[in-house]
Amino acid sequence: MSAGPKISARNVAKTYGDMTVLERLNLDVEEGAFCTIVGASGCGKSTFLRMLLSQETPSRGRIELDGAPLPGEPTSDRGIVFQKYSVFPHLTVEDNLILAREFERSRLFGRSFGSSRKAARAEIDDTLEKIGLGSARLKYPAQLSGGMQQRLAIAQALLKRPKVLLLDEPFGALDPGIRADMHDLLLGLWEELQMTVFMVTHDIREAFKLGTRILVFDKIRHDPQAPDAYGATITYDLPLTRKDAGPPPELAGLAMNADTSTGASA
Amino acid sequence: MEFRFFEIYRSSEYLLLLAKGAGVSASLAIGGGLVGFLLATLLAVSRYAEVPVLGRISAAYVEFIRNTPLIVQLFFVAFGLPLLLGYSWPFWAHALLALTLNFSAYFAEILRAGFSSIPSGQLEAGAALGIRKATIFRKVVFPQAVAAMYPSLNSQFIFLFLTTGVIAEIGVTDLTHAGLYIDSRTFRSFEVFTALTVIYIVMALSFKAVLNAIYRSAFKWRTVR
Ligand SMILES: Nc1ncnc2c1ncn2[C@@H]1O[C@H](COP(=O)(O)OP(=O)(O)OP(=O)(O)O)[C@@H](O)[C@H]1O
Ligand SMILES: [Mg+2]
Repeated sequence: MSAGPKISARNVAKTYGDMTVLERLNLDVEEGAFCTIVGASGCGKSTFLRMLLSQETPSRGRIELDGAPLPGEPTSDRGIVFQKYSVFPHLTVEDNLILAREFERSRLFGRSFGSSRKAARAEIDDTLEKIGLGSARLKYPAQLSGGMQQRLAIAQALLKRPKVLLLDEPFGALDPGIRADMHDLLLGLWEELQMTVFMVTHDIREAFKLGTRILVFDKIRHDPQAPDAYGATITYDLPLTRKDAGPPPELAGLAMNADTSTGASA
Repeated sequence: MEFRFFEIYRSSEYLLLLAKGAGVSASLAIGGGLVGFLLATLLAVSRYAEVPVLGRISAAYVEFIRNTPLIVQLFFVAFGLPLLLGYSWPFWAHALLALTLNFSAYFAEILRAGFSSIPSGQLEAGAALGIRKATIFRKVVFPQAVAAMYPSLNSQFIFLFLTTGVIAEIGVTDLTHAGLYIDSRTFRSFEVFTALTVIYIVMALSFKAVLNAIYRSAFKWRTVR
């Protein structure tokens, strides 16, 4: 493994037709960082994560993983958790995880052999325990609380043993009380598995609580005649220490105006 | 006017005819339903996956079948095609082929709607896990679509079952055929067709009950809470 950054972005831009969503993104993220990403709705945070996952490709510039260009498709070194719809409602908890291992089967073996199936079971058991779902393995997602469903989504992502974990508002739909538990779970996994994490959130306190670094996406160039001509970029990139009580004064207003500042382009 | 149900059914010959006819109707409907479902899956998949030529052909086929009367399709299969292709099958086989073709078009349309109703987030989640497209379809889209569309497939099947009476027209000894035969012998039309009505209702409700039981056991995830 190289000593350089885990992930780097050089002058990355993303456009859809005439609409520029992101532009001039430059970033070096060292291995093991926990980057939280905040910004107005629609400014391209999810798009950025999808590019990191290779579900989208940059329109300009390039993104590197371990100093090499990103693979052209999602690979097992990167996992993602969405806000919702990432668990499969027609499968039990256990079968959700078995399906999540399908990538290995189809890519490497074609079929899983007896011994590897046994190993797969052991790994699924292990993951279920780690994530606190041991007693729910035969339940369907509809029988789980929102928090448990997100645990399952995280478990699915972790089965690939990713070195980079992408989280797109993973706790956005959860009650505040449950969120605190999920934060503990996530921080524990991050430390144990030594992953590099990118997490999008609309909750600025969550961003400060969890991150070792915060990235603020915002659209600073505006052309009133052509609202789609310019995209958002990273306007603040600050290191955090976990002891921070909360956002520094210059960012205190962010959480509140996050949803309105680019309302014109929505 | 007096009704004489007993007169018709005291003859065990007539009862047997009705029972056999009901059996033929049920068998052909079930056979046409099952094979039709398989064919419908191929049709719907080729359209959903936008397979170049096949997708277009499927679309045209579905439109063609759904915009022509079953009885014309039946005559075409039973009398038209054999002239062209030189085959000669028993009546029931012509009926089975025609019903299969007919059912498949209606099922295909329902399945296709089902495939498109699966939230794109499910596809993205599968892709993000690195699962191949074909596997995502087979293990995520298809089972969820069939579950979502099951009630529509169910009532479509019942509806189609009730239209199968037209196969009597090509000489298949189904339930309707049995009724027409008994009527022609006894001239007790009211009693005969009352009896047919009751038998069809009982059969339709039985199909419904069985299909519902299958739904509850095959798609537990939709009913658990
Ligand atoms: N596939 C696409 N085709 C066209 N436009 C797209 C596509 N994906 C995203 N966009 C547009 O790009 C912009 C950024 O979307 P994105 O989902 O990345 O925003 P976001 O910052 O994640 O927003 P939110 O906070 O609401 O989740 C939006 O205006 C969206 O409409
Ligand atoms: Mg988003």
